[in-house]
Amino acid sequence: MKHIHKIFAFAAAAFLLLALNSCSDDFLQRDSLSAVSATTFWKTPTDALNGLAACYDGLQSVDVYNGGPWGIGPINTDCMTDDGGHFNWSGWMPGYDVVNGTSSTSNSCSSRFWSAYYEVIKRCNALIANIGNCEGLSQEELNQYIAEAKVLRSFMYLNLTSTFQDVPYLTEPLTLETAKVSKNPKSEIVPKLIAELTEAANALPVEAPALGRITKGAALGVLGRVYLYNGMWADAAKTYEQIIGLGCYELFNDYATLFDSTNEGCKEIIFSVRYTGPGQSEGGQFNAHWNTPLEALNGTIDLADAFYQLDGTPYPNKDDVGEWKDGAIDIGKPNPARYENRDPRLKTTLWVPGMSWAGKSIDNGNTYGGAAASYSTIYVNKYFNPDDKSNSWDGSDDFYIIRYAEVLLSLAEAYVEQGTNLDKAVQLVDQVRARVGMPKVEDVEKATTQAALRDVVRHERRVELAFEGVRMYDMYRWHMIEEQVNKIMAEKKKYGFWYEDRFYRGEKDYVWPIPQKEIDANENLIQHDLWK
Amino acid sequence: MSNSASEHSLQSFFGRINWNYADRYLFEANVRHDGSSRMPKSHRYATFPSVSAGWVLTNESWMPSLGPVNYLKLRGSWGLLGNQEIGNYAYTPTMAAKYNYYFGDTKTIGLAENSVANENIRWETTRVTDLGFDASAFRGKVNVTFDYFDKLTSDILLRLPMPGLYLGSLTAPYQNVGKVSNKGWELNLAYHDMAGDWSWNVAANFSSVTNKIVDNGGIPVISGNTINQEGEAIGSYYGYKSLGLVHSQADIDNYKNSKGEPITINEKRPQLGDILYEDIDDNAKIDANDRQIIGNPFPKLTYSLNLGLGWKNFDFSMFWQGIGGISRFYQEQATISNGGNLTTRWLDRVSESNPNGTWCRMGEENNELNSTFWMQRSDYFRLKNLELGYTFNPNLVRKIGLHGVRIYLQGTNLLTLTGVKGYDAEKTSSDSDNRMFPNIKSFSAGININF
Repeated sequence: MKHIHKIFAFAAAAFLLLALNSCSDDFLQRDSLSAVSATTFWKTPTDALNGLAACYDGLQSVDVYNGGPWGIGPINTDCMTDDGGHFNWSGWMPGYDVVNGTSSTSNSCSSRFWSAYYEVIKRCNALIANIGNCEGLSQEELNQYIAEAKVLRSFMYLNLTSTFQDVPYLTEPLTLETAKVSKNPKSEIVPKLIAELTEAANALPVEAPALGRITKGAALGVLGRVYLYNGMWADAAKTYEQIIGLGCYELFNDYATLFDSTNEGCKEIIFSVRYTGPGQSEGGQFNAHWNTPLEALNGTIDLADAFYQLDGTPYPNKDDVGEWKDGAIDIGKPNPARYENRDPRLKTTLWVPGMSWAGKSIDNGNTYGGAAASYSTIYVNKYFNPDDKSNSWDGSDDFYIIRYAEVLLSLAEAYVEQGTNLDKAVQLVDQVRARVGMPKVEDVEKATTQAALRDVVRHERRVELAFEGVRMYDMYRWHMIEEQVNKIMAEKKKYGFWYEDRFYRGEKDYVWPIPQKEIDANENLIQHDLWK
Repeated sequence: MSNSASEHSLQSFFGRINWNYADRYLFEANVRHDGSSRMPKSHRYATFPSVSAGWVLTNESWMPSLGPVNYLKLRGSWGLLGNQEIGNYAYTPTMAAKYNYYFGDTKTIGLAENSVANENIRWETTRVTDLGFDASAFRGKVNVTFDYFDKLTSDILLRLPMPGLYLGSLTAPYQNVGKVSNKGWELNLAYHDMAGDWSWNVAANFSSVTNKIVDNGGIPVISGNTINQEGEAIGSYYGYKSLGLVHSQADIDNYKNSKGEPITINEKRPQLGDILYEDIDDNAKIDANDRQIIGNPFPKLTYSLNLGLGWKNFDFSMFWQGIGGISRFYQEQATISNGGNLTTRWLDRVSESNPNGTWCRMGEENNELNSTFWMQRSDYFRLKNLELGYTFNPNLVRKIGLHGVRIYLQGTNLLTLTGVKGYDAEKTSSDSDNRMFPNIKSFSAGININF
């Protein structure tokens, strides 16, 4: 061994230290300093309330029931119909490619919608699965919270099954191991929604513990939609009659201020998303838009003219939309006069020529400039406040998901489709019209047949509820996509508007494709047949 | 304003034996046992041994002279390495109090999960086997180092795409996924010498690596425009194969599958100037099922060159770097309705008046699909740095009370040899639509003074 020059041996004695494992356990246990560990949550009544707030918070996603042009919220879904369009800022707004007939399975509309809706479902499932561990929560509160979460969850599935049709129906939290689930047919999901909503309606109080919380009326309102959207007319009628029977709802007397934050607690509101702004990080992204109406979301002439004259007849002249130049309407020179003496709901719903924005109107020049003037000369006004320039995207108006006027019109529709209570349907439409001083069906349309009344009810629903997130679903269930595409294309042609071409591709336009990234990430999820 | 705080801890036990026999036989063994707070209790510790051996042939008494080679060492090593770079709390689901809501006029704190955790996360390990030699010749003027390496990384820590059903709007958790092999070689050549007032040196480095997914659980993982699939490189490009542009009606008429059915691209028949894609499932429909692997982000060869020259008080150096055998994406929107700038490539787009153009038409979203049309060979060889300096005579500057003065001129990115036009060839592979700020060409002049 004399040739060995050097041997270094740092003994492995260090391993003996392992015997002192008890101290290294503590040393190596580092929990987040800034976040609550999910494993220590769901223990107290406060945890239960905090978990419930998070479920409702999910509704405020720009892809669920918030405003702004970025997501696929209610105003944007209405822009996918004949009510409006994203006519001059397309190319990035979710849904534009769907209506233009160019969307693929990777379109942002369906992928954003999918993630945001399943986020709400995830939060509701977490609450339902874990709330039982909250010690000290009364049985009454426990039942109520669970019922609220179930209504929210069912509501999400209603919209998912109305767009994607067959989707995975999840009622408990997924884990990494169970995440790759397959679809359930819509026909299987709908009865489950009905059962859950019926049960929840029975568990919930008529009076909300606080504004914004889901009540019996809200649960029934969602249930009514489930029946209505699935053509179950008798059940729909019974459910809506039940809401009226609760006796706590009525139409608010002034449509023009109905959507202001001051009236969000009125008796017309059945289910709303709370927004509290500005500066609370809880504002809605509807509200104001700096110097001009939001140019990204445009109303159509077709919708504007659906608001009849005060005598209940349609505005007769289709050619006086503005000055004609080289065979097209000059959108810088629209005609404000034609929007006078119309159904008062017109100027609450749409921002038409002749109205002023923050003191500016067409009379003094530049209102129509903006960053990009509406190609139709018309903008969306519902939920916008032209006087409030300082709180852009941080507004305080609640968004109304279900209000009493919808209940009345949905009931009218159910009656008409049943064909049995046509006179009652007429009275319901009259009731909605009376609030804004529009004449009765008996005095104008004099409709008595089922077919004629169907048109009356559908028309009333369109003008009363425009830009409240129901039109797209109505178009789907009434099977009117082709008709709506043709209307927009005809409007584009007639006035020489620079709308992008819309295109109807057939039945697949009634179904949203499951987002490609979902299919790519989950081999058990099968694309809808029409999108394969 | 935002604040954050986090902590993590690492505990290591470490042992080493080092043995050197007559400067001829070298041997070393290491073992470490690491515990990380980033791993769950069940997988907190992992052991990483390594051994290496070397044989200096030129020190053997029986070794005949190798001519100019005065030093030659063969060496080999084997070892395991660990990786725990997954952030601090990947195994515990956390909740954040930011999902607030107003019930009535009361702001209610909303708590929901803000991270999706994987409670079974483990250390990633890489087994590295390395064989190589170090040689020196001409009395140390020429040095050569060569290595062949074979790395096999197991339990790779990746954020595997997971269904949105499970994630909602959160990011996918880390998972230990499969095995990836990296095999390759690296060669370093260096030469330096001097004569009279002249001195010079040259150093070159070449390396090549082949990346291959060995085990991916059998399931290809598609994530946007990339795919991880067994037998292919990690992050392989996934998209459509372009068959060229439509230059005439005949091109449209001939765009058919094997049964003679006209092929549609996302439901539409192509028009003049559209890109035609390969219909790999031959069903006359181009859709997501027609995506295929169309390349990968690994260059076949990476190399660099250092040149230095000195004459009296002048010094001059250059540093070049390059890659070869790589294609990247240079995408642009084909439908812009709201402004935005385009490259001059579009001037030669196919149209009625320019049927033989080289670029696709505008206004068709199908032309924006991730396809080989947008891929371009992006090899380059670039002069990254060039410097010319002059050092003043130390005796001279000492007279004015300084220790040293050197003035220099320097330039970066002065010259690039590449086929890429209009964009910087030196960009990351994930930058498919050219958002990265390009490397800038710069000149500077300076003076170094030592007091």
